[in-house]
Amino acid sequence: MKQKTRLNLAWLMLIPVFVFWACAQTETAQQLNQAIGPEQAMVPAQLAEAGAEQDEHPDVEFTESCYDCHREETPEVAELWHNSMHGVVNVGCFVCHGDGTTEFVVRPTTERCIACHSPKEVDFSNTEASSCFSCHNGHTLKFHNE
Amino acid sequence: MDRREFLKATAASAAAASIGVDLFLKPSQADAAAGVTWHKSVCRFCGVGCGMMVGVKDGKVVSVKGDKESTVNRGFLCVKGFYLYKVITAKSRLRYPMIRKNGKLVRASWDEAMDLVATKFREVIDRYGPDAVAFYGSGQAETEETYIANKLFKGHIGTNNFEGNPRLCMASAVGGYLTTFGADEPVGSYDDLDEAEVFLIVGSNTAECHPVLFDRIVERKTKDPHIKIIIIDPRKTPTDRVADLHIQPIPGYDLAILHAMARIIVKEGYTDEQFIKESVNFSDGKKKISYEEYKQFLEKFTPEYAAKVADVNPDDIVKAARWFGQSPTAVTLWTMGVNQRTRGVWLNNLIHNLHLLTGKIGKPGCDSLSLTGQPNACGGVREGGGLAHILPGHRKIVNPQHRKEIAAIWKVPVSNINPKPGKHTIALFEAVAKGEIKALYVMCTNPAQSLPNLKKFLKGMKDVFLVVADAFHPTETTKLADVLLPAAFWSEKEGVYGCTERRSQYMPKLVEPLGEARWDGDILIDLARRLGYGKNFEHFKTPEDVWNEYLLTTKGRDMDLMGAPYWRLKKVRGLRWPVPTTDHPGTRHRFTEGDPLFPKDKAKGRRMYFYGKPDGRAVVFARPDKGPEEPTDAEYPFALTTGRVLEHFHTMTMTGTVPQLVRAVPGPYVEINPKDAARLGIADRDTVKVITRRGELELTARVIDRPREKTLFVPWHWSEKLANLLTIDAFDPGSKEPEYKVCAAKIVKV
Amino acid sequence: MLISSMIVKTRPGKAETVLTQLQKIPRVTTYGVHRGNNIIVVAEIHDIKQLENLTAFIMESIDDVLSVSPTYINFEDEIQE
Repeated sequence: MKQKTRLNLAWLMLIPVFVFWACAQTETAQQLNQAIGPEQAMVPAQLAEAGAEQDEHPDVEFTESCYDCHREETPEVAELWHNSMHGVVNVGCFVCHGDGTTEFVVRPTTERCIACHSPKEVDFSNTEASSCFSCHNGHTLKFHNE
Repeated sequence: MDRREFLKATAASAAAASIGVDLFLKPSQADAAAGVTWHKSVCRFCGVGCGMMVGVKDGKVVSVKGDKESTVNRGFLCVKGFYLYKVITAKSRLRYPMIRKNGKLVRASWDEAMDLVATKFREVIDRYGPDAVAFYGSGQAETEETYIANKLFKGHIGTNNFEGNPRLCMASAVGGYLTTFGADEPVGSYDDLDEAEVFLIVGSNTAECHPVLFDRIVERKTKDPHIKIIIIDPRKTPTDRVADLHIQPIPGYDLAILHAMARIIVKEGYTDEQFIKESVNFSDGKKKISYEEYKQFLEKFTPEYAAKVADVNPDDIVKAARWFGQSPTAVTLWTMGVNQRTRGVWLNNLIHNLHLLTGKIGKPGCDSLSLTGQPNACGGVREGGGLAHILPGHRKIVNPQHRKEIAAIWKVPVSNINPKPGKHTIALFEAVAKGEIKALYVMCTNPAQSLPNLKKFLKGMKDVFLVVADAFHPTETTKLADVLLPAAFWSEKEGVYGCTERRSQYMPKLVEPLGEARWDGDILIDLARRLGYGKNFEHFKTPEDVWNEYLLTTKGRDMDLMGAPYWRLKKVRGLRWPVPTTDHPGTRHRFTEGDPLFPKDKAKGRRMYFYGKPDGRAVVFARPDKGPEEPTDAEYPFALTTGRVLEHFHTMTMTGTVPQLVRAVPGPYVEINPKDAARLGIADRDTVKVITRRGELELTARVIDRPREKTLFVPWHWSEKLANLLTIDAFDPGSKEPEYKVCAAKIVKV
Repeated sequence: MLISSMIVKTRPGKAETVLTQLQKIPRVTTYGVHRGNNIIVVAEIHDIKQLENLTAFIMESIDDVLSVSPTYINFEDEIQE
C-alpha cells in the first residue's frame, strides 16, 4: 500500500514533463490523434490509466441501482447505455464497471468483455487495435461510432 | 526476462497500447504466463444450460468465460454467470457440520453429525414407519445426487415422501407435456429459436430470467426485423424491448386469449388439416371429442369475449393469431407465469393446442418450448424421478412394471418400493406442519423462503427434525435446521446437469471443496451406510459409478441416455436425448424421423408419431377457461404477482454473495402502476404496506409503468422481506404446483 | 535509472529510415514500426532532464520525425534508492 502511494506521488512529478510536451507538440499530437483516432494516443488519458491503481467511485449511499442513480446524475451516458445492445439485454453498469465499492473500473479492459463474449476473442497482434474499445464505443457499443 | 527487461517491456506495451497495438501477448499466452488453465463446464444458475469455461490457477477458480464451442450460448454469459466463480469462496459458505445444541447451532464433527442424523432417522422410521420421514431435493442438485437420494428413500427406507423444488416451478409443464404429447419435455430444441419467424412469449420475462436465450432472440430480430415477437404477460418487462405486440391481461385470465387465438386459427384456415388428421386427437379432458365438437367448443371464445375476460384489446388477439397462423414457423416460450397457476397444466395444454392445430411442431423453427428455471430440474428431477409419484427414467410409481424394473436395478425386492405415490410438496410440508412427518432431509434448496404462504409452514419446519445439506449458511432454511451438513459447491464436485432442451452436460471437479464440505452424493451414501443399507451403495466409488447405474434406468426409455457415458460427455458440449448409442448424435426433434425411437412401421408415412400415446396422436384439449383461485374483490382490489430480476437467482443464497450483483438491485420493492399510485397518493420510493389474506410486508414503492393497472409485482429474492408470506398456497389439482403468480392484495401508504 | 516509453511518429514512408537512426542512440531500444509510421521507443535515462534532452534530440536531429509523444515512465527504482 505504501509503495502504491509513493508511486502515485511519483506520477505527480511527471505532470510538468507532460505539460511541457503537450505545449511543445500540440500540432503534432493533433496530427497523431487524427491519424489513429481520438480514442487512442490521448496522452492525458494514458497518464490517468497508467497511473491509477484503483479507480474510486464518488462516495454515495448506494441505496439504489447504478442505473436509477445515473439516469439522474449522468443522463446522457445512461441513455446511451439504455439504447445500446447492453441496455436491451440488461447487461447493467456493474458488469463492466464493478459495484462501485469493492470494485470500480472506469475504463474496463478487454478481459472483462471476453468473459461474456468469448467468441469475439480477437488476437490483436495482427490488428491495429489493442482492446475492444479501440473500435467499439464503450456505451453505445457501436463499431467506429457508426 | 530480468527486472530491467520487464520494465522495458511494460513501458513498450504502454506505448503500444496508446496507438492501439498489443505488442507482446496473445490472450492464450497471457493465460499460460499467468498459470491459468481452462476447463469446460456448465453454468450453475438457470435452466438454459450455458457452457462455461472455468479458469483455474493454483487450485482456485479465478475466472469464467462463455464456452464458444457450446451450441447453447455460443460463448455468451449473462451477468449472473459472469460472477459465478466469486460465489465459490463466499463468506456465507458453510464450511463445517453444525448441530443444534440448546437451541444454538454449534460446530460438530462429520461423524457426530452423521451419527445424529442416522440415529434420529432410524428412530423415527422404526417407531412411526417410513412415511414419517421425507426428502426434499432440488433442481439444482446433480442427477447423480438426486439418484442416490431416490434410491435410498424410495428403494431402501421405503417412503415416496420424496419431493423437490421443481414441483414449485416445472410441474405444470410436465403435466402439459404428458397430457398433450404423452411424454415429458420439449419436442424441439434451442435450434428452433434460430429459425422461428414468430415468437409467442407467454408469462415469461425471458430478458431477465433467461438472458442468454433472449440474446439469441434479439439477434434474430436484429438480423431480420420482419420476425414478430408477441408477448402475453400482465406486466411489461425488459423483454418488451424487442416486442411487436404486448397483450397485457389481468393476472390469471389468459386462458380465454389462447382459446380465442385457436378459434381465429381454425376460422381463418391457418390449420394444418393433414397433420390434424394424422396426428391429433381432441379431448375435453374427460373423454375424446371430435374435431367438430372442438370447433363448437371454441365458438364461445370470440376475440371480444376473451378481450372482455382479460381486459385487453380484441384486435390485438386477432393480430397475434394471424401472425402465429400465417407464419410458416413459430416458437412459443413460457415460464412461471404459465406454470405457477392453479390451471397451469391447462394453460400448457392450450399453448400446445396452437402448435398442434397449425402443425408447427417437430420441424425446424417450430416448437412449444417450456423454459426451465433451474439448471437440472429436467435432468435430475423430471428425468431422474425426483418427485413423489415418479421413478427414474420417466417412470411412474403406480405402474407395477416400472417399479419392478427400478427395483431390479437398485437390487432391492420390489416390495421395498411403496406402490402409492408420496406426498407432493405442499402436502408434504403440511404433514411437517401437522407433525406427521417427523424427520426431513433438505438438500440444496431453501424452502423456508421459497414455499408459498410461508407462515403456514415455518413453525412445522422449526419443530421437525430438520437436516439441511447446503453449501451456504445462513439461509432461511438453515436457520431452522437441527443438523447442517456442508455441501460441496459447483466446480468442487463432478456430475451432470440436464437443461431445458433435453441436453445433458458434464461438469468437472476442478478444486477441492471449501473447508470440510463434501459432495452431496458422498453424504447420502454415508447416511445409507449408517442406516444399514450400505451394501447397495458401496459400489458408488465415484460420481461416474452413480451415472453409469442411472444410465441403466434410461435404457430403452423415451429419454434414453445410454449413448452419454462420462467419457463422451467430457468431450462433447452435451447431448440431447434420446441418444441410445455412443455413436448417435442426439435428437433435435422428437417424434419425427430424426428421432431414433421413431417407429417407422407404426407411423406409416406420417410426419410425426407421438409414441408416448397408444395411437401415436397428440391431444388438443378443450379446457374451460378458469380464473385464479383468489380473484380480486373490493377489499383486496389488486392482483399480486411475484417474480425475479436479472441479477438475482431465486433466494439469493448465491447472487447475494456477489457485491456487484447486490449493487445492481440493492433491495426489495413493490412495483405499482403510476395510475394506481396517483389514485392512492403513493409516490416513487414511498414506504408502503402490501397486505394479503395471509400476511403483510412493508416495502419501498417503485412507481413504474410495468405492471398493468390493479396489479402489483414483488420480486421474491430478499430474505429480509419474504414475498412468500403474501402468496397463496392454492395449487393446480393436476400438477400440484402452487399459484405464486396470482393472489388478491391491497396496498396502503405507511 | 528511469525507464520511459514514447511513440515517435514519422512522415509517411520514412519510418524505416528513422528507425535505423533511433537504433544508433545509446540506451534506446526500439519495438518496431506500427500502424504505418509509429515507432515504439523505450529509453533508459537518469533523470527527467535527460529525457527532455533526448526527445528534443530526436525531434531536431532526425529528419522526418513529426512528433515524439511520451506514454509511460517508471520511477520505481529511483524511489527505492
